[in-house]
Amino acid sequence: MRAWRLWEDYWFRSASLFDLGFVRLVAVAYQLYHLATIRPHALFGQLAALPDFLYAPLPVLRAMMLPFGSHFRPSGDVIVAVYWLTLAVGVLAFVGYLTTLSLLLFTAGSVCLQAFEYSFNEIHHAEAIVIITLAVLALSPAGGALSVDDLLRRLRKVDGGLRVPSDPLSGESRFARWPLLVVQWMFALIYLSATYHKLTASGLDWMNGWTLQYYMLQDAIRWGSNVSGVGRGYSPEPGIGVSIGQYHTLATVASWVSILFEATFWVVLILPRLAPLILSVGAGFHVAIYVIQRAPFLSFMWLYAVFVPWSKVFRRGGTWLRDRIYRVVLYYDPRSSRSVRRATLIRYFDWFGLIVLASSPPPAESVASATLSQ
Amino acid sequence: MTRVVSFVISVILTLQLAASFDLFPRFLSRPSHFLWPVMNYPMYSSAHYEGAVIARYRVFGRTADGSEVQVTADDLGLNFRKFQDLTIAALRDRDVRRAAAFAEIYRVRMGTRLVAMRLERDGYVLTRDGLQPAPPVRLSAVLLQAQ
Repeated sequence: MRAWRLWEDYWFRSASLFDLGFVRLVAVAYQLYHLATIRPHALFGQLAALPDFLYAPLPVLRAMMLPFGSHFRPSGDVIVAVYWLTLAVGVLAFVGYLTTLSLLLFTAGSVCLQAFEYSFNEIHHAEAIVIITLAVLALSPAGGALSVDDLLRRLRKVDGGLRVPSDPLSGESRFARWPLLVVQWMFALIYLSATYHKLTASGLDWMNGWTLQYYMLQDAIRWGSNVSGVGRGYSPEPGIGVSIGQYHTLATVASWVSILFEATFWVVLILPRLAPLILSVGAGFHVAIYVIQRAPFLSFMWLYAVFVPWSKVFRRGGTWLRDRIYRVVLYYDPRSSRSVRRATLIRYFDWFGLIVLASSPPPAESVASATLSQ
Repeated sequence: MTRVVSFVISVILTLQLAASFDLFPRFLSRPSHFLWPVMNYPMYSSAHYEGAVIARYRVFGRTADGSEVQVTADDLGLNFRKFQDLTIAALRDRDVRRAAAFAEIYRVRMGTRLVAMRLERDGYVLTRDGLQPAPPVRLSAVLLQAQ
């Protein structure tokens, strides 16, 4: 029983819905951006045209296509249609309208598209954690803040008699913590996996300097400076990695830094205070391998958002700003539903708390009158 | 509700743990990306040493009239990775069946029938004095049909 209580306290301690909602915005925005950079007819059309002997559907794609027959291979047109539907439902997931449903559909669409792309004997790693993050968000109250759903809920409370605009950063739920923790653990396991494979395959030789030089130079020659780790390869303009990769001592030091970072990332789960340091090193690590090797793990940096207590960041940022700027005072009439609704709407987007909402004495009845005060 | 969510958490993290440390191949006889998006992360794990060759492969095909053409990824409608991991791997392994399948793609796309294919490697050698050009090496040739 004690173990269960500890488990419950760890995963289901009441936590900020704003933090969860903010991560939803980040994760969905990243995936939307990723999808928007795809030219669907070119990519999926080219894949669909490949012969059957190159088609090795991932189990998850097989499962999704099962209703159409166990050997159904989706055509390019079908996948392009899925692409546009996924984009559309992704916009709903971002704004948080019918959030759970739209997130579920967005996740399913993203899984389908990515699994199709990876069903031709080519699998990459950067997107997996994004898909898993979207999935756990879809199973959580991710629309409990920063969403149209939440805003409508607050406005309905006004109609129900609430006469004070509520604080958008204040909502909490005991189911708001586990999705963020799961993604944090995923990061730890992923980095440990990278360490495990390097050390079991190569031992300490991985840090001999030559290894990292080899990979830096290989990728810089392959991808150059103007492509993103995909495409035809062998750019006519070798990347910056060709210059940096010539320095053996630098490569040796960078190897040790890389392996130490990957092997110890899990410490952030035990000592969250170290998050700014560890995440900064991680961000530098991923930017460096992108610039030098064009290995596009930028999704990892986006999803570091799960480690940040966003509501605290905005509260502290607001405190700092309020000491330095003039604040706008807006008056609303607590007797008027319309006035309180407007005030609620304004308050909802005032994450730094920079606007003072004051109930006006009668007969003022709108939030239109504004004065400046310190 | 917490029990249901706990089950979900346990499943996700157990699968990722198993994938991370390559337990799928050991217990399920399946690769670690079998349950994608849960997968392992073995990229860049092999060690390399001074003198390693940063290889660049070239594929050539011989046509029925005896002339030789270079076969590129574009010719086959493949990107770099698929060309590297599938076409070049097939030639390196002297897998005639797969090589013939790529020759057939070439025939359909380019209108030229290939009767043989060969693989050549050049690139750069990693040395203390920087990168040095590696001489071309003929790695393998595959006869696709009797001439």
